[in-house]
Amino acid sequence: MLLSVENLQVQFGRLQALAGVSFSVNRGEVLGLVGESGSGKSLSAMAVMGLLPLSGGRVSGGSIHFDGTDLGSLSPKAYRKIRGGKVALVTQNPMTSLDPVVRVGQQIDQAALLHLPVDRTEAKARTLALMDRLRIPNAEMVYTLYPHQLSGGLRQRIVIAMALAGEPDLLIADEPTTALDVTVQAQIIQLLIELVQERDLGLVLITHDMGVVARTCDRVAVMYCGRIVETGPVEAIFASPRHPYTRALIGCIPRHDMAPGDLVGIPGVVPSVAAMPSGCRFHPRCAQAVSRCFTEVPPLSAAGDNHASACFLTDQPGEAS
Amino acid sequence: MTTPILSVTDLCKTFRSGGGLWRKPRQFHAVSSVSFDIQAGETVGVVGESGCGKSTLARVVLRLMEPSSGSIRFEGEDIAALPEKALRPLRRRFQMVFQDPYSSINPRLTIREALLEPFRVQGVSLTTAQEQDTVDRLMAMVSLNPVLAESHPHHLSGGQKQRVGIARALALQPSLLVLDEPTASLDVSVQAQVIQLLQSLRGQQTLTYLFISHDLALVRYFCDRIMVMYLGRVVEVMPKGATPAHPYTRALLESSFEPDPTQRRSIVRITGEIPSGYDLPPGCAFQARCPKAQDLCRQTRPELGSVGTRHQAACHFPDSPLPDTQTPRSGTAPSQETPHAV
Repeated sequence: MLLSVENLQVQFGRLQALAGVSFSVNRGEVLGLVGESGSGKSLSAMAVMGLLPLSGGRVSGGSIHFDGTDLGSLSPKAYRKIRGGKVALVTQNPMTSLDPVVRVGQQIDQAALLHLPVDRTEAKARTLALMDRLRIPNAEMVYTLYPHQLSGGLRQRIVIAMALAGEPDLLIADEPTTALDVTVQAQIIQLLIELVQERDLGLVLITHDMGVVARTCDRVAVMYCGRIVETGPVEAIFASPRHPYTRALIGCIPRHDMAPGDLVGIPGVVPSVAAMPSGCRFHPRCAQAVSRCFTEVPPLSAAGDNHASACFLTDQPGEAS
Repeated sequence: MTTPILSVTDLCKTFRSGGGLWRKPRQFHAVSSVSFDIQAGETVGVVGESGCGKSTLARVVLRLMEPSSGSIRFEGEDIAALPEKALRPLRRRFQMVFQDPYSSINPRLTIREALLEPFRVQGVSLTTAQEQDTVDRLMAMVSLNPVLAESHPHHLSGGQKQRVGIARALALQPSLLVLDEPTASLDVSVQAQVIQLLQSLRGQQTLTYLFISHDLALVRYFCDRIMVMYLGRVVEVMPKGATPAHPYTRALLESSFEPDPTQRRSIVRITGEIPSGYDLPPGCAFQARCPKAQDLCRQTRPELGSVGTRHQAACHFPDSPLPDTQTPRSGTAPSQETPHAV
């Protein structure tokens, strides 16, 4: 396993935001981390990147192993070597993750200069090659531009180029296409898949869109309120989703064969960390909840080949609605 | 045929920028010669990428922006040139729901005050009891907990705020609602809730929707008729369920991902991004990104022409239409849509 997260717990003060999250990703594999805003997807990414202290959180239990190294045991200095190098992050909003006063080409150079034994000339040559690979037109010219001069799609390509410049083994992409038009989203998604195959990368793709998951991922981990509620191969997750939350998420995406009224959404809202429901955290929004769901936490239990679901009703597979 | 509730003819909106003593200002054609009719009770979707002019169209149609030319007839009355004073009383008949619920509600007003604001603007005086009834009725209509009436917008989630936006737009019982990407800033789960709400409101009262979105899959699900815009022009008009004839619409469809891993297609035919609306090349605006562009496309701009029943496309080489739209109709007059059951 390239990345293996075991029973990860994250706390902000006394509030527990992640309550034991486990997932793993191999080289050449795309893992989809799915859930609504507030389910802990981005927090998991921040924990892997070692960026929790920035927001006042801390890992209070569990482990994160990358390529055999326990990331939790690393000093801040050793972490810096890995972060942006072997493990890179593609953020959601390219406008806030790019420096507005540095030319975009130089921002990509910096990642290579920090993590690879190259000089400026070589870094620039690598950057231009990378920009070509990411199908950025007129790479030489774009190299000299500032972020505000680029379109959203180009900015996102620059952010991906920055992430790739340090020659990572693992890429974490946090909602990389949420701010983009659908045509551009399709191009970026296709690019990410190509890169995974070409460079044998592990990719953790964070999204709330089951349509994107169906199109890109090999395996899926569905998160709700700081827990993994279902995990399995993408085909199984969509063909026979076991957890009501997974079914609800799939039902949120319009399909061509839906009749009026079929698009139902999920009633209610994601509860806040400070007011977590008891038992199964999805029970207040779940149509099938039984009395047991109010008091007991359902464990993640096997529901098929590599397929597990944390629901007391897992034995009764449901149709994708 | 009854009079359409909204009839737009040759609507244009041009922005000028730059220019000086010796230089001509540059012209940006945000909306170019757009014509369409909407029948009462119909839901029409406008879809396209950012920069295609769909939001500008929404604003111009409601006279939140002045049209450069063309006519807008609302319930038979031309409102394109009406002075603002004469327009105001009409405004209660057509309302807008904005894209960003975070910035479209005054943060200093409570939800109650925000919901009563339209009455104040329109000079409708309400007694205290009527106010209470109105707020209760509006909150119930969009399924908001009445205790939220006294809170401020920052206490509400994005979905709740958008419900307030919809309730406020419906306060004066308009007949036409223009929705400008009402779900673009929401989670998919909340988006589905809001769409469901809009559907049920449409069932309860006669409402006509002009629904602006960048999401073709959502528009195909929600709307009776779809207009696809590209660089300020309508490139395709099609009824619900039709297969797109314009390569741009096809590309939009291929780019929207269905939640079905067995439907993975690896080919994305469309490349690049929408070009700038300045200095448009002659010919078809889409030719630079079109997989089937030919010399003709670079020279002559295609006009909207019939490709099937109530189905028009502006393309020299439209894809063959679906079996159910195979009988081409001579003439391109839009036929009347069946209004929804009320």
